[in-house]
Amino acid sequence: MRPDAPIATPAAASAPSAGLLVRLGEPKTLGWIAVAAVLLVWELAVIVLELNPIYLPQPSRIVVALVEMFSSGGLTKDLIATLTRIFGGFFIALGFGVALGVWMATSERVRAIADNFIAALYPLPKVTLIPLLIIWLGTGGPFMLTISMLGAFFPVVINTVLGISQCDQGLVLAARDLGASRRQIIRMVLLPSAIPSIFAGIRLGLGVSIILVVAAEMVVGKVGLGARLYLAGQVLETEQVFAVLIVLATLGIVVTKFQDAIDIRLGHWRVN
Amino acid sequence: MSSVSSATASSAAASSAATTIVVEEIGLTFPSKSGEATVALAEVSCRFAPGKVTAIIGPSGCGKSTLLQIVRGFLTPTRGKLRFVAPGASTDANAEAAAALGKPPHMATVWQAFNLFPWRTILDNAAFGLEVAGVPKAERVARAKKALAAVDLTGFEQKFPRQLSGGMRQRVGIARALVMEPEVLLLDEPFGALDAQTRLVLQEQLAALVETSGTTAILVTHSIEEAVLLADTILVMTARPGRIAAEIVNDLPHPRSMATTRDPRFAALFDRIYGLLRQEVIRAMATEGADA
Repeated sequence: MRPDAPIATPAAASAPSAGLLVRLGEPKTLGWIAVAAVLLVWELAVIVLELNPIYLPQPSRIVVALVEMFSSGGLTKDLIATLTRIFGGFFIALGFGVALGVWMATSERVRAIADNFIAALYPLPKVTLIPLLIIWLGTGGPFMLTISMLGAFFPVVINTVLGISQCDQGLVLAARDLGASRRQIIRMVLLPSAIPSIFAGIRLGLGVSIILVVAAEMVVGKVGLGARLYLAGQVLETEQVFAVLIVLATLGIVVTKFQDAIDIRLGHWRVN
Repeated sequence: MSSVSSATASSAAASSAATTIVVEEIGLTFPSKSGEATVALAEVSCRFAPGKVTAIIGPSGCGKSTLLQIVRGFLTPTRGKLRFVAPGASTDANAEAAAALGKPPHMATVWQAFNLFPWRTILDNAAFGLEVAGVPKAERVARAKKALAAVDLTGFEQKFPRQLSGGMRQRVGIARALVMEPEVLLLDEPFGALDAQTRLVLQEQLAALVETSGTTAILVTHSIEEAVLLADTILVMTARPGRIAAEIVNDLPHPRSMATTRDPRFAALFDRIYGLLRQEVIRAMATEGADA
């Protein structure tokens, strides 16, 4: 994936120093150099300007804090708690969301009934439901799973309905012609053709679930990344605040890359 | 493609005891919100003989595909009757058997838009009908492979539809229908989406396949050449609302190929059908103009 490589190679052969420069100029390398440069400037600025670490700690100190939190501070436990909440709620949402989506897309009546509720609940910022859910469910596991589920549910439902409605009717006719039952048409035609759209819903939904779980943990949690972040902020442990943010950012990257990989695997018939 | 697999051979055996499809004064009118109903099919009566190829040809919008969908059972006519007459039973409308509409024969369709499942491999596409029928995997793979071999697609089993050319995709469509060993093969403008040369080759190959399999076939087409090359009977339809303008018996000898098109009798048939169609197409264009 280096479109400029063929042009760069002759230059590298003729002059080694120029070759290094070219290699450093490659977009991907350049991206990482920029990150390193910002960290270096940050580190130096804190030292030279003698900034108070409560406002801005040095990157090196953040890394030390991060390692300490993982090795002895129980951050692993928080990470596992948060992941369990996010994915627990997300998979419940995926199951129910796809099921309701299929039902809505294949029955006009069900769609008419569900449409109004979804129209009301989908645009509602889900964080506003936190107080009500605490009154109903307390602050334990059921609350966390529910808030996480609410985040992913609507994007999954809406995209399932969309994906199935956009299915080529010719394929449905062809399946009927070959003797497929209604159930077989749903399983073997409608669902596979809706997969790209359902996946778009999963991407959106999982993002919302992450936000909601961390937010809920900040409000009521005792364990979890959100709780850890909030508590560290309360006691002005800025290094720990940054450390948790790094974990959350990494989590986001891992989830996105993982989704990309699944997407490519499931969509292999789309290439060429 | 000239060597037809045993998958299709058994349908040849079935053709000796096949059902006649009788269309009696069938019409289809779609109600519309403005109150002015759309007449898709005015009143059509015809008969599809077992083991024969019948072509339906007519101007765009005359309802020839609609008629095919009615025969298939996907559209319900608003008037008339569709009867399936089992062999031995009298085809006389007044006969005792006429009361019963009969059991529809096993049908399979080849579509103009191919309608292959893009996420399934060529093999899994060809095996779809067997899979939904619950045929065990080993058997359906073997039968699908045989059907693909009959359309010269051996070696492409693991490809996806997107990786194949239009002509190859339609050959998968044909294999997918033939693997079901249908008593009646419905061809809905099967080569309408293909370029002229691919079309020629596929017409010739399909003619050979249908001839050897002995299946009943109904071919909806825009192409006079295709109709004359493939069909034993040609139904010429009028412009919308569609009726049957003429029923032409095509007794050109089999097997037919591109060489047949140089036969003077081919030219005579072509001219006759063209003469009938020409006025209808002009009429259809005039109505379309009035609609717009």
